[in-house]
Amino acid sequence: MADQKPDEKTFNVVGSRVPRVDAVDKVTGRAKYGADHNIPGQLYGAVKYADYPHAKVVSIDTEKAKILIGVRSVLTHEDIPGEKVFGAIHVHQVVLCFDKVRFLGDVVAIVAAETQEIAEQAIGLIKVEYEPLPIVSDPVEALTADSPLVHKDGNLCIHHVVRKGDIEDGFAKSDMVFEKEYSTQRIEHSYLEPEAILAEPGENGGITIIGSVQNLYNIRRVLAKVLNLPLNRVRLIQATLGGSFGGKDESMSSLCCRAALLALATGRPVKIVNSRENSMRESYKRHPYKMKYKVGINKDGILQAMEITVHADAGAYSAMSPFVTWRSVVQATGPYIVPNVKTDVYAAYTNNCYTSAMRGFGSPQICFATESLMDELAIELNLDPLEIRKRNILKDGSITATGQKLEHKVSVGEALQNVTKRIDFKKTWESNREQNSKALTKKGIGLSCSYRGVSLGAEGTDAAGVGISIQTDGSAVVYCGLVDMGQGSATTISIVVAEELGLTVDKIRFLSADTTSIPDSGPTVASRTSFMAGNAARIGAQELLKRIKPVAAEIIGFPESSLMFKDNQIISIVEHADSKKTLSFADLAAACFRKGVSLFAHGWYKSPSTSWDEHTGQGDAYFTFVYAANLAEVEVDMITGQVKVTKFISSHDIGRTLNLNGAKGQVFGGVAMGLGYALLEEYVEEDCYPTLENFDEYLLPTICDVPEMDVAFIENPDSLGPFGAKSLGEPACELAAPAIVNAIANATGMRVRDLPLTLERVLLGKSLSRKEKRGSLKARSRQ
Amino acid sequence: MMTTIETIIPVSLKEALKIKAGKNIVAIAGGTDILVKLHDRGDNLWPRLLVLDQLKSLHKITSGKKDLTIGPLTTFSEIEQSAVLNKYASPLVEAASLAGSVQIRNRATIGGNVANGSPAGDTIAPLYALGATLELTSSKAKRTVAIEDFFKGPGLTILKPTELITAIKIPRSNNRGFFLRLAARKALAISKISVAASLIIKRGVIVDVRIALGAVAPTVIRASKTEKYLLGKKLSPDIIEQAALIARDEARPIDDIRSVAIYRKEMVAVLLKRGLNSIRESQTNG
Repeated sequence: MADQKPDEKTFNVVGSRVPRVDAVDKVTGRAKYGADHNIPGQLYGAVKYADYPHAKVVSIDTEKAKILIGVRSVLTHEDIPGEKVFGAIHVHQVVLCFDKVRFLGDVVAIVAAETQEIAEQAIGLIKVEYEPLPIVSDPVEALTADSPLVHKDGNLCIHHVVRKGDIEDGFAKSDMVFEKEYSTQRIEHSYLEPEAILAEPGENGGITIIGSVQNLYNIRRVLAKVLNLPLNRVRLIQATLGGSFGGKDESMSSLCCRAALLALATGRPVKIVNSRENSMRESYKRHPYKMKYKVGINKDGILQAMEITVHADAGAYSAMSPFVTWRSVVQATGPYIVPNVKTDVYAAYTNNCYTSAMRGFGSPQICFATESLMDELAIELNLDPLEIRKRNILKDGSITATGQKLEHKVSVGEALQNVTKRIDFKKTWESNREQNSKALTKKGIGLSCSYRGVSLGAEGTDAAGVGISIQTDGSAVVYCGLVDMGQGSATTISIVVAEELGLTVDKIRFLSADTTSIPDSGPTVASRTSFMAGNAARIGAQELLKRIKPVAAEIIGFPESSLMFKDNQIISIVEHADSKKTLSFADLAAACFRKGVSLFAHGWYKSPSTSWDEHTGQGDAYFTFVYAANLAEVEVDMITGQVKVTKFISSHDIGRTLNLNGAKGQVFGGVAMGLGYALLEEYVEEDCYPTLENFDEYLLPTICDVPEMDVAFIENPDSLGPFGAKSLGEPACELAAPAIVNAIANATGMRVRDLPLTLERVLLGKSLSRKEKRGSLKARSRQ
Repeated sequence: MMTTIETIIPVSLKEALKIKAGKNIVAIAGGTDILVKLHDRGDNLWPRLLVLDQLKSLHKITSGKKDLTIGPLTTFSEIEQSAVLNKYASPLVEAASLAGSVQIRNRATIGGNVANGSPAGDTIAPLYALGATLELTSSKAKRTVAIEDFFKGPGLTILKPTELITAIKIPRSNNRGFFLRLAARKALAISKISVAASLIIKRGVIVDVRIALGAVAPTVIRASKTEKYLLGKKLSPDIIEQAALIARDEARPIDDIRSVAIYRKEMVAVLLKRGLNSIRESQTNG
């Protein structure tokens, strides 16, 4: 771990308002996104999708496509030189289908042609003969004995357990026992930039790919296996990413493989850019969950026991489902002390669009259930939602559901206090409940709180690297193994390097990731970039300081210990010195270069170990946790069911604010995303056929729906974090929906337990049917 | 889907009608519906586009003694900002201002909205309520039809392939009206249901009334029974309540991607009641 600065108040740039380092590029159009990259002579790729959600592939006839003028290559699974399947956990996801198709986003053949139009025309000429198979669309049904099998080893993707205390004894000793069921919907990441890839065959027989990739090293491993190439001949370069939210991993693996296969087959660069329709059809989604909570509680409002059963719809392939659902099992009780816990989380395969990582990673579903549940319990026990939380929340030294003792500052109580301090929560909540039953518009207020494990935890190895190269003019280049996908890590890591080296942020140039320039740093997921890359950046910068400080001391003529690096200058801070000598960082860098001192360093940070017993679900699941609370205020039109979120307050313990603008942006964006989850968004499939294909019918919130927002950061520096920082990206998003849902229940007096809360559901408890369409001529692309 | 399509840009109405008399050409105004259809269905949909941009004579609002004439190329933004329409056609102005986004309203035209024929088309219900007529012109003939005779079903109209909508006329009257709608979000949303109405009230008595319901039937429909009920009556809470119930039963909605039938039926009553109440209140206050 990197050393902490002795005096926290001496920060130069950490915690200040720094403009995004990539802002000018993005607003002027200089930024090059995946689709902006072109190479002369490139071909255009297109894919042939499955015609059925579940069917045996009997034959694939590509002859007519091959002879179309302008077509350069038509490939099927038979043309794959290496492995035909991939997967970080279960190795069964297909690049090109061979035995059968398992969902409508599966691909059976690919084409490269001189133009996009010809490629698409050729796709239409490919004939695939199928033998349709029965489908399964529900994760609970998928685990019954007579369900159709999506994969031959059965439909169970994973089963996680947590066992703590004695559940039967816990219920026996409870004054009251309640059972509630909640469900959440499948949602799309909705990154602004659809997937885009440009694959170029290399001089070395390898392949270079530039495009919209979030997790370069995962994708490179897949490519190497599928193409049968050594890792050192597969190079991935990240183009500027137009959003990802966890969404550009497995779907990019298959897209990269398809472009690379076509490029190697033709010897020419191949570009594939997904339309929004293809992106929606093919890319994985957030898991829908069905959650049953049985809870034992005493009259004094103290939780005694929780028995939790969760069924997650993994869709057609495993992808990250085992890890996503593992976070759910760890955090399933919410941020509460529960002495007796029995949790079972199942993920099951279906013929729906597959599901994998999305901002929150198994927590938004759980937060919706636990936070709805706490409000329901409050009403049953005649308490208010704040009070019941206060009586049960984790505190310093508490033991979590997985038996982990929390050795750091536990601040969920402080977060709750922050979001409620400007109002009398209890009074407001109670008076909202007593509103005139005939009022046309009613007000509501809702709370939510959470705890969340930082980084990957017991999912696997957790390490990352950052390279720093000081230039002879005093500027520096930063190479980072974790990517900026819009979340702002380019700015945050630049701030960390600038702080350590005494530079201003404008002196730092943060490069997009490239698998040949920095070692495998794992995936950019789990809100781990500030923490992991931040620590690695500090280590690298401190290594450089060790080398350049002696040179500075020699030039200035004062001992190293008296030197301060600040604002691109080195000054001596010896009091009563005859004269204060200064040296510019640029002159120091040039002097080091002349002396042959290396100005490049690589910082590598490995997280502390975690532990997990998969049979009992006990262990130190994560090395540290973050805590948060949200408060939503709403107005509900009692006649139409229209909900207006009028105000939103968040509080997050992030250890230390590194990048203030970035941190606020994460919270505001996270709340907007959570609002969409609560009220609007749903990727609907009926009998495994999606009923929508673009943003005309998949409705996201617009800026007009986003309320006034406020955030209070809590800074309890973590002993492990860079300058004490922890994480924020996912916590900012996971809690918003339940706060809004609780506020609606407070207003209407009715509890909706299924997301999203559309007007119809708020008013009638009825979900939208997607069976008929009127007033739209849009073709249903089922063929 | 990438699309390449032949386009013809006439500079006069006469030229446009001559080209329209030929076959296989579809007129495009703002393109906010046509271009989406082309994107979805590719260039096999229509072989050629007739771009109407240059036809200045179809792009103005004129105020006559008896009628207001709205050129079909008038954009939603222009409707929003028109002083004369704000005075005489407030339901239409309201509908235009709620549709789409600023960018869409700057492109979308009233003629295009009518010709597209969606039961959820936001300017159509107000045009029903305002008693609009459409002038349909071909190179050989001109005819005038009432707006409610124009639609045959979702996306289906009586417009002949050789015709263009050349004018939308609204009788000038001292009406009071409203347009109310419900949608999933505040902006950029297609209506789940809309209600438009226009009333002429003399000495408290309703002497003329038109009510139109959007997105609750295969086309926008008039709530004729409700109108009949209201005619000759004074707006009172009881009368309004009763009218709302009659209108609810006149709606023939379905379950679809944007809402469910039962909700739509109920909301017809709710919106009509809210609209009529606002008129009643303004009477009391005025």
